[in-house]
Amino acid sequence: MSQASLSQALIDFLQKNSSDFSTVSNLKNLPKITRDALGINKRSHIGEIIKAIDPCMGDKLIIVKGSKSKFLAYKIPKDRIIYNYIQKHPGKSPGQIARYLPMVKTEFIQGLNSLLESDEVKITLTENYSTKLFAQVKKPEKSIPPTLPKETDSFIVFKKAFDELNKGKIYVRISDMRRKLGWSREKFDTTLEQLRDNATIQLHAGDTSTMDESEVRDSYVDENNFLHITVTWRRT
Amino acid sequence: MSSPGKELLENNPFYTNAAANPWENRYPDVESINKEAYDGICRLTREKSRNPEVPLSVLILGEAGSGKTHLLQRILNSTINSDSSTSFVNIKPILNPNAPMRHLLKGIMVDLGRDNTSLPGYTQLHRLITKIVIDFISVEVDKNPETFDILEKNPWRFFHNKHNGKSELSILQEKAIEHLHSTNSEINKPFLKVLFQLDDDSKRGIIIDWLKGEPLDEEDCKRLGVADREGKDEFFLENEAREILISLGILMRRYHQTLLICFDQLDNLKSTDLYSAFSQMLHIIINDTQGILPLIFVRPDSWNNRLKNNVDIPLSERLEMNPFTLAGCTRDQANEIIRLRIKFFFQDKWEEPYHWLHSQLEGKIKPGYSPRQIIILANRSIQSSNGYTNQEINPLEVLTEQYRNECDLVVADFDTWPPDRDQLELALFHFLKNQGNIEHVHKKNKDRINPYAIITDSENNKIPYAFIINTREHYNSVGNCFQRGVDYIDNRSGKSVYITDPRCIYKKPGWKVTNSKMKGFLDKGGEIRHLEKSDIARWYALAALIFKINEGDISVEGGGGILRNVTQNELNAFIGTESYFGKPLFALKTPIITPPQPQPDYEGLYRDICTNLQKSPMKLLSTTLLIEKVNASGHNISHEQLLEFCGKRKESFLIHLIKQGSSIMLKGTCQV
Repeated sequence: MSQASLSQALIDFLQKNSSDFSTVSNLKNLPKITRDALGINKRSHIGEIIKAIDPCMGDKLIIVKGSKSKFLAYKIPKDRIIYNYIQKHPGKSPGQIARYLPMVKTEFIQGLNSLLESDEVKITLTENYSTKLFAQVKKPEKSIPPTLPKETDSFIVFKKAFDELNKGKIYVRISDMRRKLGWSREKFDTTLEQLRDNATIQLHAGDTSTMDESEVRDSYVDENNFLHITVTWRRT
Repeated sequence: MSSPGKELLENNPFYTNAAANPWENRYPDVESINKEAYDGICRLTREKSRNPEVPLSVLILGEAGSGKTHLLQRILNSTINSDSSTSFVNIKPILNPNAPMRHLLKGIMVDLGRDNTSLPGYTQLHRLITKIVIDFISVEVDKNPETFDILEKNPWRFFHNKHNGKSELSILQEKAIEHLHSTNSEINKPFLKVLFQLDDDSKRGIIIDWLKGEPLDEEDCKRLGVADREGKDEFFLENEAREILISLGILMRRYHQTLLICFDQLDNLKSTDLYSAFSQMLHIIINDTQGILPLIFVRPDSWNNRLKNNVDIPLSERLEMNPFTLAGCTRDQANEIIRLRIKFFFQDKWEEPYHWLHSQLEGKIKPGYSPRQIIILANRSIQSSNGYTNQEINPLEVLTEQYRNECDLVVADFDTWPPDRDQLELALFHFLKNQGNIEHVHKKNKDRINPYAIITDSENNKIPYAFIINTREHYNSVGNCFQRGVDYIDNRSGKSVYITDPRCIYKKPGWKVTNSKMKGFLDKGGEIRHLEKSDIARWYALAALIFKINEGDISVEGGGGILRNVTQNELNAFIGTESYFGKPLFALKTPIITPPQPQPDYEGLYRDICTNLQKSPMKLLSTTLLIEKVNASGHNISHEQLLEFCGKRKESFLIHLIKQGSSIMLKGTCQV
């Protein structure tokens, strides 16, 4: 078996277990044909298994250290692993979850805090003050399907204006967009912010040295007083 | 006990957001940021390595602050293993449109000659020689694969092992060169001959100078066994540099190496001539050399509105074949930037300040923010929580801090700034243009004189001045400069000043004719300014500052707290105001030369620096405070000496920029 086939066999194993990860020790339960190809058996030590699977990681898998064990896991952000696990195991406390996940304590706390902050995970207190975690239905920022967030008229018109202006260029000036659309300042800025918050577009600082004062004025200053000059499209 | 906010304010990891040099950038990298561009560059590097003759280039579009330096550093880090097959060089903006090949060659050789692989002292040039020697041995001497496996594992042996007083490299030199030349007759033989002398540390300086295309002193030419370049015309020198570049490409291809050449700060191309010079550099890399891949970093507007229209169409089409854009950060990446920076400074005490700052920034970070915007936001939060409210910041103060930091960085890594006439000229020209008592400053480069100016002295006399900046170390060149100075004084009744870098000589006992011309020049009232290290650092730092301003790399919070780039006019005002800029680059009064300081007790100094840093929180002290402490233990070193000392010991010390200026951090434990 080639390394690519072995990599696929490891992915199949994770998929079969409906999990983003597996302890390295659990890989002793790989199908015999895969074990033979890797040169491991049910009595192999962890170190031997790691040595055997290490060349087969490809760009999708990774070997990582957890609080108690070593794991084979998908190469995806830690907060996605936590989110997926909570979704499958609702109502567990952070402490119960942390010990099973392929990450160390600090990474878990950081990932969980990020999920709580973005409301993707909710925490509830029980009668004895212990905590329970629940995944929210809301889709995470990165999982937004590659379409416009909501096909409102404004978004469609905005995209049309962008396409007309970006001929041969990747970056379009916000001042050109604003002038082309001729909307009220409030409507333009609100649409721009919505598209930015949905990661449909990206705003860039840009070069003001070749712009006149009115062009700079027709650009966009955000909530943190950052001046944005150009826009690029991230999703179609 | 102080609060996390106060601790962060005192040792603010977000104080500086200015782009650093990829060789010097010390902050931890979030590898997922701009991963697409990084993976794309790696893919094209592999492609170039497999098919070195295929013309390839990479265009990377990104605004100032979009993570370019970190991306470059990531590429650089992937090349520093002694057995890596990729080398990396960074080319500074070209200033002389008549010397594109020499500019390119100089940039390449400076970086290939840097001590930056995982083996101390073993440069990327050493790595190339090792490849040549192993190839020669494996074909001609010993076909046993085990032999060259042993050699590959200990590449230093060629340079250090001696037989009968001769190094292994010099024993192999002649045959290895012949072997290589017999299979590739295009390779420039003097280039190989000079390269193979790298085992001799005493010649290292002149070897790199020759490889950079510089004319050497007659005596040094004899030591290297090469022809004298002095007196050769521009066409000859450009053609020779071109031949060396092509030879380097052949070696790259033959030994399955890939050289990545990064072009950056391209907003400094200000004239048609410079665009043309830039095009020539790219043409030779893409069309005439093999195994070399150019990476062009440019701001999108600059590409669309300037660069694209000023290079020829086939070249711009070629560049646009592999474009990448630098993207902003997700919230996770933004958090990671903050976490890693705090962890880097606060080490195992990072959690509390991180969680504090994280809560301060809640809801503020927007999707797609650039790394620089995130750092600015973090800095603002730290400042505002400590009572510093949003107020308009004086851009001249920002430039003062930035300039001071640039000076410290030059002193700490002087080798990055080899003697460069064009950069010294750029700094002097900008300085003279912005002085109240100086007028009619012009750049007309004639008879080795540049620039000219009319200076009004304290008695209100208007005196024409001719400045002669020279970094060539050949008696003929130096003598000609003195002669031009004498001619100018005679014809214009003016004054003439000869300016040079402290690393360049302008007199030598054997230079009888030149010494006599120098005497004539001095007798006529000519002045020689053989600048001191601390002075010349200010010249190169000004050149660096000019490059950054043109690139939009320095920003300031203007009216209403809106962030904007510092303008050229503000830079001019800064240079023209002594209270901000500091002592002038050129003063009419001849400066008093400081007598050379005695050599410090290096071992004792190292020990005392380590001891003081180890006792300090986070093992970090401002340079000023560290000097006080070290000198209190009996040393007598200056600010520049301390920075240079620590800058040369990168394995032990890190130099950071904080609000109070530069600071020095102990890396790991000290090796006393």
